[in-house]
Amino acid sequence: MTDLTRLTAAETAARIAAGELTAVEVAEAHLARIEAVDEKVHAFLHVDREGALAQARAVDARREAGEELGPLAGVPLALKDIFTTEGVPTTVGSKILEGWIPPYDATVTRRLKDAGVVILGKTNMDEFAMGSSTENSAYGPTGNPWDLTRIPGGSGGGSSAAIASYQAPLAIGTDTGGSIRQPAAVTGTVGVKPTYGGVSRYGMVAFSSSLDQGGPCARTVLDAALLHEVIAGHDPLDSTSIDAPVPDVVEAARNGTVAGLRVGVISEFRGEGYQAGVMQRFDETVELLRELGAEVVELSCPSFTKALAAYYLIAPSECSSNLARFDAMRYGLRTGDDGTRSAEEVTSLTREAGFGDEVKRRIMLGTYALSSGYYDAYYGSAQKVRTLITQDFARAFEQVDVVISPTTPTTAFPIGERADDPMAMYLADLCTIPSNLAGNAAMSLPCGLAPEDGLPVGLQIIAPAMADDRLYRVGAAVEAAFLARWGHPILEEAPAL
Amino acid sequence: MTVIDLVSYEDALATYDPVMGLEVHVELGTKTKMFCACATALGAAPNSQTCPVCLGLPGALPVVNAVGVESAVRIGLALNCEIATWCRFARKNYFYPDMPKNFQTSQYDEPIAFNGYLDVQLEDGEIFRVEIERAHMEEDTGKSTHVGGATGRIHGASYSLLDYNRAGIPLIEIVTKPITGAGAAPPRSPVPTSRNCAN
Repeated sequence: MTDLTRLTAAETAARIAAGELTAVEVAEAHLARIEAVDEKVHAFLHVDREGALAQARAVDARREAGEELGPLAGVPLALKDIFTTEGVPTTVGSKILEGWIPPYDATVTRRLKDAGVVILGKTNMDEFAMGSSTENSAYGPTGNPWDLTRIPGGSGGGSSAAIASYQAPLAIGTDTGGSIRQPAAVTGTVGVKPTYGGVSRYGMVAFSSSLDQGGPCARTVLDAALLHEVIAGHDPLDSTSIDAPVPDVVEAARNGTVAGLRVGVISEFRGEGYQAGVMQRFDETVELLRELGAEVVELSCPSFTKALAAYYLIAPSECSSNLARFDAMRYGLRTGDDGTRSAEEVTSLTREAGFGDEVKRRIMLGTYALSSGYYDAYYGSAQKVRTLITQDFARAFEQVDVVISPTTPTTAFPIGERADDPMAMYLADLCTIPSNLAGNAAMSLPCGLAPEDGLPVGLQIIAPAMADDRLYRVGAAVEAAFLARWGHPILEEAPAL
Repeated sequence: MTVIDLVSYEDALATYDPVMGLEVHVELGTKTKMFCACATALGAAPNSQTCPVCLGLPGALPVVNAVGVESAVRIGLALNCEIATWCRFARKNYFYPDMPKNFQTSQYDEPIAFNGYLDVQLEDGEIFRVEIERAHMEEDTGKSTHVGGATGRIHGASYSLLDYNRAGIPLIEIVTKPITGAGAAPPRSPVPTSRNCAN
């Protein structure tokens, strides 16, 4: 019998639509897989067995009634615990929201439900999406399915680990500085940060509003495109959502090619701190692109060396304001309310108990950077760097169609290795942060295993804003070429759990 | 130790010319709130006119009320202001239990209307010009009712009741420039005019 958890989302949906499989048996197979392996992986914070089965039954009923099903109807999905889900807990990986049951669905949640996607549960993440390892979750770390003693990336480590361990074929992540792409890279999966404004942020708990972007995670480029199509598009409830047609990402994913494509390689994305095996696989991929008919152009984007510094002013500044609402007055944790303390004291005690160290660190940094008299020197200067980065990208895209780089400088590091060294942790996002600052579109997909540790290496593809389809056209071509070379998907090399 | 000699009221009036500025908050009569579709009617049961946006629930985002913006422009024109062709909202960050997000969405360095004036006719026929610094859009807070304690304020209260029906109601804040020039003239009242220029 076919192991239903090994199918791609595209195959699963086609077989459900054809009546060869029921959505209920697909959901049950994945729930059984979760039961079997998630104790070890810890990808999920909450499994919504009843909700998933109810949705699967509804899809089956619609099919039996002869209704036409959408391209992902009946396909299971793991949803990052940063999206609100009506009636289902949403913690954002934080103690401060423990037990909170949102009364409303995020737009992404709503679109998934409307498309007949079966939401299995909510995935683990660094608290408030602040981190690159999922170790900052208040609910314990997640293991990388390739090696459970290593990190699955972050902040969306639960989502990447869920798909890499066949607990779901699809997941949703959010990417503020690399939180979709870096977890994809270190787990051998595909992750896409759409153009800023491409996917609604309504109901996605805000970390850094000008950088946050939700997007798809999958095991194949086509599956990511199918999911991208479901969640993308204008939302009147998000004033920053783009009011224009979504690029045809599915068509692009079905017709991958790089022939005649101009590909830029950024000289700033190599050097000290980059693992040898990562650069080896990246350089081989550059060679592969040449063989496939692409023209490779060396480029310099000098402002990219300032991206990390700008990011660590902008993101904490915005978070300090966005997280102010967690004050124990209306929802979530309330500590010290014994009838003798003032509202101010209760707010203070709750924030002390409810937020983890990294969140507190960023709130303090951001509050300082935004304080009267410092705003121009810190937030203002960082915004100017951001403009320079956007201009560097604009110049690059005058010469090339896409830019490529390693997604992360290293493969998955051991849990605990960087936990006490925030600067070392921040370096994991060196190559991904510029795209958040510029608001363009970027993908990570596997490009091999590093020879020295046998762990997945990610290739990052960056396209101009609104040209998300280019990621899928290039990504599908690279994926097909590697599949032909390896003879099987890279995840099949991961050890059994 | 420095001794501060207080000037008597009469001496102060004789020595100084009073200068003051006004900051006037005008509540708009829009049907819905500034950033969500909740009703604005007065007298409803507490917290019955709220939603994820005006309660500041995690994940909720604002969408500006087009009628609120139009009203702000009307007020700006009525005050002979320049109207910004481009302006933006800013967050005023401070903690208070009746402010759901713990920041007020307001306008800071780029208000929608600025550099205006209002000519006020006094009872004796004189026209007195009040220069307007700016008029900007913002949202109201919820209403706190502090129960117990001597002052009716939050300090010393035994508990407080919060009603967020008012949270997010559109406000226009009108700020005058310093008003000078009354000099030694006796106090006079302006001729009453309609209060309903904004809808």
